[in-house]
Amino acid sequence: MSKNIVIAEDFGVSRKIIVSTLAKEGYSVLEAEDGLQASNFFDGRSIDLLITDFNMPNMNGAELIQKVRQNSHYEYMPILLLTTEVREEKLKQAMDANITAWIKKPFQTEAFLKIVKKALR
Amino acid sequence: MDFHQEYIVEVKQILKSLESSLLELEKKAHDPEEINNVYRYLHTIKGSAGMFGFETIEQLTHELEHVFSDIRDGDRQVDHHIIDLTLHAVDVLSDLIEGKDAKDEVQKLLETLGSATEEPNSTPDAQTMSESIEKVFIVVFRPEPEIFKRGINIEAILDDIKELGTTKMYVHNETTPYKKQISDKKLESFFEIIVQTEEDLEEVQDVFMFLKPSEYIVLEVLDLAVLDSKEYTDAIALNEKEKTDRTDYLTPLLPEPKKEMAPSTKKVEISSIQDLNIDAEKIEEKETDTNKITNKSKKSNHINVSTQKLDQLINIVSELVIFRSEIQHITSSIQNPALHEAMEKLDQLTLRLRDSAFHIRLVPLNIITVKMQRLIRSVSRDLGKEINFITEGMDTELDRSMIASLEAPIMHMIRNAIDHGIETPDERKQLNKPEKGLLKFYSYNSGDHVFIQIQDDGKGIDFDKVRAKGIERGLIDDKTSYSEKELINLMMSPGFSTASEVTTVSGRGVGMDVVKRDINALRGEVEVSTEKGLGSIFTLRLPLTLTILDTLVVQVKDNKYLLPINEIEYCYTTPYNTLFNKKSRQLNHEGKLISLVSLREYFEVHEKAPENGTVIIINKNDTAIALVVDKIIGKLQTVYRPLNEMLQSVHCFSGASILGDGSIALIINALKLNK
Amino acid sequence: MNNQKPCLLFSLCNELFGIDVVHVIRVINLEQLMVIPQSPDFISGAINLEGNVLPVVDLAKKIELGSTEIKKQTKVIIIEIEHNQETMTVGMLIDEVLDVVNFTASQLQASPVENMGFNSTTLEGMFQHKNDFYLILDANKVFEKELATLV
Repeated sequence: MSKNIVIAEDFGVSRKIIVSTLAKEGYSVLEAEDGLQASNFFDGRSIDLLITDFNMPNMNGAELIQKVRQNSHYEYMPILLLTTEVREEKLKQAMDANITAWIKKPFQTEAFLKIVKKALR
Repeated sequence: MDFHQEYIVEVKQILKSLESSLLELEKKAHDPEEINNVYRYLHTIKGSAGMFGFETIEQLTHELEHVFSDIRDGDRQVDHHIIDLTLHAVDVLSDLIEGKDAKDEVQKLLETLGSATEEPNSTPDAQTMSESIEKVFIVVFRPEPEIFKRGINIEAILDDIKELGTTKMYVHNETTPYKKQISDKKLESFFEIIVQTEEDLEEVQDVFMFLKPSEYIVLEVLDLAVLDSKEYTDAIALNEKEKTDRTDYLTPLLPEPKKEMAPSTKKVEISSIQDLNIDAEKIEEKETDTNKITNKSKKSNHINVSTQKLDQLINIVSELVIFRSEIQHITSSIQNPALHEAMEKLDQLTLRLRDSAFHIRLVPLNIITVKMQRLIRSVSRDLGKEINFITEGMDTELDRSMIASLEAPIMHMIRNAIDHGIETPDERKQLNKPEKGLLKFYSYNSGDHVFIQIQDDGKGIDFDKVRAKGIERGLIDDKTSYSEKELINLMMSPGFSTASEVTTVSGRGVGMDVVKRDINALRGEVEVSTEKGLGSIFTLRLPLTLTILDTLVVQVKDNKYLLPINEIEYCYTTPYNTLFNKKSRQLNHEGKLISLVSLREYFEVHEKAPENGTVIIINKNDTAIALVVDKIIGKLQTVYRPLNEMLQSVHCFSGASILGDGSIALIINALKLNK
Repeated sequence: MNNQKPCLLFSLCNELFGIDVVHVIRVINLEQLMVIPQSPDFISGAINLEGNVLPVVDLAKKIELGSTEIKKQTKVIIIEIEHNQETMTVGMLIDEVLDVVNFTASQLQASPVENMGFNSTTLEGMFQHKNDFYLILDANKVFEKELATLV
């Protein structure tokens, strides 16, 4: 069974790179351009991992995570937060939203995949 | 492969590791880890040489082993002389293993070594060697109760620890079985684990990648004092009975106590600012670091596969890809949604299989690091220049066969950079530059391409000189003014540098034209940017693999030909007769005249052309050419097949592919059509 | 049994030839020959041999015997030649496979050097089998020029 991953990222090029990186590894990927679009994927179907950007229009990463976690289906699902943010208070905010790890952009694909694989275990 | 051959392959690998350890040792003369590695490699070669009747090898490694056991025991110091001698011995050893006669060299080396090891020293003890590789760690893992809400899988983490080696786990506060706590997502217990492993500290820490620093601690156990260390006692409070238990368990795992007091623990470094900062680059670094220290730690995850088997797999996969398009061709006319759905699935699977198969062929560039280091070492010595060599992105992967063909051009460019680019220390001092010249080798992946940059902070290219030389050679005339780009092209054209002129270093009569030719042959490109006085950057742009190609299928009479899509700029259809009504075979394309080639004419098809033709504008290496074909059939991703030796004189084709119906289509090398 | 050499006998342009079977990989029927524009005159084209592109040589042209007329029965001998540790694989057009026979070096007669109507320096020798004379080709000599350019 291939793992289902939702990726929320407003910047098209980054999203395409991530999607193709993951697709090459055989994951099935659902793409969303913002938090709101992404939140619609969490309708009870089986999703194994959420990878989300921090700053996005309509619904930002922290809000998305909060919303997703409220659904008991996704209470324990791993979540990876992508961010260029290094300010500590912002990150604290993200941590409180119960994420598995955050990944600093830009990243190298090898390292990124390693983290994804680990999160999916 | 028989055992004998297997032995040869293995020794060659060890020699490579030995070589790179020696070069490391030259930088850090007292690094006990590297000294140990060198010793271990020599020991391994010696041990097996006797079994396979390589007596000279046994003799030579035995002497070298002596030298390094003295160094290890502190009776000798590592110096340039020893490194030189041992590097030379590595060369001699590889000659010997290949069955070449190197008796004289061996004799010389033995004599030199003999005088170096007059006092016989303690014999090597294989046991301590192997023990020193296995380390002992003590881990306290105390996850926060709400850890599950972070999407972290505790069981996976515990499994990962167990996979590191031999482990002993103590569960604290276990009122209900911890597995039940985990499945109930209510964790009260915490874990203490003693790990015996060949992995390094970083690897052990990696297991806890997603955890906050407050949730775990990893300590390397060098002696029992660790149980009293602050780090440990802060993390966990043990009663006397538990402490005795730990002592009893740990004692047999530890090496004999040394006379000198060793520090009891290595402080575990955790970057404090970010709780969960997973800095992707850092992980990468760690990986290469551990690779460097001992290749043993990774051994269990790798198997050696003969290249023949690999090629066979690739061939089968290639055939499958071709067969896939054949089936697609057949089924396209059948109206059956279920069939098409199944086909789509088959399609995806085939492509995935192909991608992973091709991925196996990829090897990291760092297999040539050692060669580069040695080259830089010898060239800079010969020329009396000092080089600070920096590499980055050496884990970038490329097709195995490509790396082999890249070696010569890369070595040439490095030689060039040191010889013609970087100045002597004196000159640099006068120029207010650091005495050591900077040579940077940088590589990265981008899309379907790999970029390699060789950068130096030397003189830069002197365009006045290039122009003067070009005029002298009669390659350009002295009236026209040339752009820098044109002069760079000139520099890379055949006949610019001649054998008599190149110094012995850049030498061998090879110029940049050969580099360019070699890179172009790999379907890659060379780019140069330079600033006078500041240095030059040579950039190589290479396809990731040589085997998969996106092409446009075109038809000329009854035959199909392929054009690489990345070379195509523009296509349009137009009546044939309007194209060739002029005698000059030129086409006005965006205000520039470019040559126009009719493939019908070029391939000597004498029949009457159809009414309309399709013009395809090709742009490759900044040269544009227009081709006229009958029509475009479509796009095709295809497996590249080289042309047999017999056909290599046919320059207008760069290769061929097999189409879905089993027929052959030749890949057109457009720029060669002009001649 | 001293130095028995198996040899594949075939006909081409009404002449009888033989070639050492160490070189022969197999013989196939000619199907779908792709003409290669701009290639040397003696190359008839290329075929798809299990996914590899294999050049097919007009042997008659190569040894200056004439040229092969492609018929329905035309066969291709796939041969492999080693040179400086490199292997070159190539197909050769022939008319018909006749037999495989064993002979020893002593049974091989020197060829008359001149006036054979083709480039007889490509011959290893001549061999009499039953009442016919077979011209035994030396594959390395036939492709001498091509092998020399192998890198």
